[in-house]
Amino acid sequence: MRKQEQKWLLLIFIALLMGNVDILAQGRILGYIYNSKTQEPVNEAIVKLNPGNKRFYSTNQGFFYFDKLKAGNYQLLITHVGYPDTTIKVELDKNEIKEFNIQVVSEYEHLEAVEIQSRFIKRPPYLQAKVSREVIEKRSVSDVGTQLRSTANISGIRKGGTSIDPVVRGFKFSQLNVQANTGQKIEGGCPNRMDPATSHIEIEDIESIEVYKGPYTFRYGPALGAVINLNTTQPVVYDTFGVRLRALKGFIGNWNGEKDYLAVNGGNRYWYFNFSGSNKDFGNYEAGNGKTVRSEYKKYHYRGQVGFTPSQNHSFIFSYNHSGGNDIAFPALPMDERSDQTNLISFDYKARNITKVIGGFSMKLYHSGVNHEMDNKSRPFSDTVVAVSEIEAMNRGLRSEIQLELRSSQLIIGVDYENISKDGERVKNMIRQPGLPVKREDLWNNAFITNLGLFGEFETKVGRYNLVLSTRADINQAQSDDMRITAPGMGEIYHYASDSIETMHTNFSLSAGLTRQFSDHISGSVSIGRGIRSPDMVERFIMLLPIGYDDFDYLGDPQLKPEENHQMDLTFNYRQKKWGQVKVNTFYSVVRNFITGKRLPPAQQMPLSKDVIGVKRFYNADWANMTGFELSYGSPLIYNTGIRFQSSYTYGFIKEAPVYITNDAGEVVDEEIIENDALPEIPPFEGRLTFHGNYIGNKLKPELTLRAVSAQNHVSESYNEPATPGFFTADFRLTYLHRTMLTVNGGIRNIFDKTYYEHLNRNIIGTSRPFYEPGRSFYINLVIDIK
Amino acid sequence: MKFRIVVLFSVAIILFAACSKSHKAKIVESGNIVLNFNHKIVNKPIWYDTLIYVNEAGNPYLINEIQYFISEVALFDQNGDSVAINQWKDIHYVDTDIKTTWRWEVFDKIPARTYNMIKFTFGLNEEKNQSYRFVNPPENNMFWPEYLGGGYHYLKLNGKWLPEGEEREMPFDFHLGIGQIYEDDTTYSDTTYDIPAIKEFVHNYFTVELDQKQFTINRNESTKVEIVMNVERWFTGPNVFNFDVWKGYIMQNQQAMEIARENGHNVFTIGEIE
Repeated sequence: MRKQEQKWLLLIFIALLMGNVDILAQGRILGYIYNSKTQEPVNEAIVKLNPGNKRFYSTNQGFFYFDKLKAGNYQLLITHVGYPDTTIKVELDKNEIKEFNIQVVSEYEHLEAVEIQSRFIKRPPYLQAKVSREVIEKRSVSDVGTQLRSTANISGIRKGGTSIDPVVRGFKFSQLNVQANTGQKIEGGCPNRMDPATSHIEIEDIESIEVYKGPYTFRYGPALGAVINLNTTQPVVYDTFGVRLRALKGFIGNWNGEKDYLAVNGGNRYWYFNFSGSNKDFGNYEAGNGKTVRSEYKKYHYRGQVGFTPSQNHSFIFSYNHSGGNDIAFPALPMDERSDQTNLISFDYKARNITKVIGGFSMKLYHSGVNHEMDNKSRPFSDTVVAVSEIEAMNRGLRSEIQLELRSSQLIIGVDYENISKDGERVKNMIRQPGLPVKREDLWNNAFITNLGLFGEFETKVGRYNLVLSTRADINQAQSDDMRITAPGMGEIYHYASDSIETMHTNFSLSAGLTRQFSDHISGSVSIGRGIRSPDMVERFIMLLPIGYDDFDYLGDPQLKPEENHQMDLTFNYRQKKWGQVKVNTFYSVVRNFITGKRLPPAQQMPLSKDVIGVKRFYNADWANMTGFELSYGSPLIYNTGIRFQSSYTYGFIKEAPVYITNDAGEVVDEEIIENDALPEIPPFEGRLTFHGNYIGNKLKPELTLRAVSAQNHVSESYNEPATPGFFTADFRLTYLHRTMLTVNGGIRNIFDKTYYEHLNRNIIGTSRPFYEPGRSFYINLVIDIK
Repeated sequence: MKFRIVVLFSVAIILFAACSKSHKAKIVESGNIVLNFNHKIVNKPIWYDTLIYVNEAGNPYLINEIQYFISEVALFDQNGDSVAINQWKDIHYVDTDIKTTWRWEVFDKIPARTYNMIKFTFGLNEEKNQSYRFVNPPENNMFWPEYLGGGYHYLKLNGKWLPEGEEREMPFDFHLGIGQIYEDDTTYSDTTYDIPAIKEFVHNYFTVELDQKQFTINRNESTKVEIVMNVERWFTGPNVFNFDVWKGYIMQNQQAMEIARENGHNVFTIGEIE
């Protein structure tokens, strides 16, 4: 164990000794806190109990809890920024359990998570996963993709130490609609997806992550497989001038990684601000087998937000976020990221309670710009060809919606628009050739896509039924300059006929979801949806780059048709305060015009990249199918000790896929079409069991998570996907709330130092060696929160 | 009750979806051809790296290795109708050091009938001979320097010869590719970067027609056709190639490459047919 790790563990031990234990009394006071207007749970409210000076920070469900109380008169004080203090007097008999549902009223809206929430349906008819900052801090992960991997049926594709690309129920890449703060889209610069949209938002700035599974909610843009909405912290409105400071210092052993974060927000009821910045410096980690895995990276960011509220129901917020990365290793890709410079700018206007019918109006304008530079200088073949790629990617757009209150119904209608543009080239220095010839190849040539959408979402409640209808129409246009690659002094290597590059699609998506409340404890939901997305920039315009799962150069096809997902979800929910909550979901999806790659004969197109096998071109396969389930159980929160369990599985196959027969030399000698071939990169069955506790007056919260993942043997023959073995891991986490201002999080990941890799981890480039996950790692975070 | 039905229905759907993988049967209306490449000197397998051969000009020589491209292969039947081999690949690389390249299992389905000629391009034509076409070894090691015209070698025939009156053999790189016509109308027998301006490039690829034997492609069967490179013929007929005259390096000597090109038409023959 390194000296630094020992130092941090000693710190935890001392912190533990500073707690006190009360085991004599048996009475309990517990309850939930809700926003009286939105009926959303209020998390992170400070609930103080006197006498005794006990404190509890309400959970993500708004839950609070005090136990081991003697009989007597108590006073509960609930405080939260943006809400006036609420006091409740409690008379507690011996061994009595008192439960409260507390509604807190906000005179001035708390502007965190800028979103107009539904006031009807706390639980939509489709699956929604929400991860709060509290959970993120507890796990101390370094990027959004890693955090999402711990959510049921969400996996991630690992290509380096960071920037894990999320996969939700087998849907990935552009099948997922990823955005920040409800509407801000980000176009990653790298064709190899070194920088998926999730990697451009620093996780320390995240207030919550929402995942809406399935093609059911269209308020966020075209949705095929799922919507991932990353809500960052927002400026807070204070009644009188106030300032809040939040600082984090974290260390992760094994990686020898450190991270620092500082956020300051403040202001009064008219103007307010929020500034934050972070720095991360991570090294290579060791896998369970003791071998070093190249995973180093350096990242930083700074962000500034200013807000203005001229009158009670109107607010304006301007945000600027800059993030950068240097020397980010991607051993599973042909290049490493040398530099990333990302600017996210947005302007939000929000109005509430405009008239009796118009409950809210919001508008967002945004600009997301990514400058991405990558090269192969750390690769062995750079002694032959040094290749440097630089790409400029931009996504600019707007989103606006209006919320109409219609008696027992609610209608949200809106418009969104985005303009994606991409330009970049790869420069190759042929250093083994006389005269050092330089070759320039376009990766994109001023390609752009625009998407204009109109959406509407209607919710109503009739008796025990909740109905949600959602729809949108999109007009999607795409264009690029000439798609051509030429060699110096020679002819064309690739040329796509310029008269068919421009395309336009008109897409209609719609969904319906119904929830039936069978009793106070049992509900069931059914959702049916048809979500359509147009092909993305890569699928349309990429020119001979190895971007896919396999070792092929890929070619885009501007004439691709949009992909359509027809899906149904059934959800059963049982919730009882004494027994906990059980949720079972199954889904069935048919994706028509499924976009995937098909091999081209070398006679038609030779590859351009070293060490690839050949060339594949994107095409629309007839259809693919994905089906699966999710099962979860959570014990009631009224007990000090509890468990959570979740398991999930997805089975995916494609109707027809070409398979090529090769001889000993690896040459293709024949072709077959196989039916029902497995889709590649589908995560295997997994189960996760967490034991959690809440001790020493809610100050000490340990968690032990056991994760079992089965082997994945249902693998794609057409992609030559290898099967992967199953594995079992265990993680331990401990949160200690020393004082209201200081929290210590620590833990051990992969306690048994297992050597394992996820099915979705890419192989080390040019080899069949798997990309192992980290071995045993210790971590600790100190969080200081001064209000 | 209705809810139960919906649940049962969904379970049924899932079970139905998890059906097994099946392979479609192929309908084959034709046969296959396999081209086997062999290399001989005076009708006998080559003894590599051994100085036992003497060419028409009287130069004792040995062969180290042979590498070359053939492309645009086509089969001709008795009516003169042709079948081009280009469905999967239209260029084949042969390397005497890499056994797997000696055999080309052609992807294309060949109509079942009798053929009496194989025709191919030795090397790569202007359209195909593009620099950086091949990014992986061994093919990319055939690159032809940019300043000499770029693209790829058509042929690397490497060995040694014993110059007249000398006791020690000298290496030769009997290479074919894009030739150059220089401003001063001279030729260069050594590779040098200090060269005068080139006024013209010459594409030295040529067509080979093999009609010594006819063969039949049978339905659903694979026919193996041996293509033999008779190495000694590079140095004779119609022109006698004398290493003492042209020396070991001919990449910058268009006259020498022209001799090789003219001789090359007669180098290949059809061998055994199975």
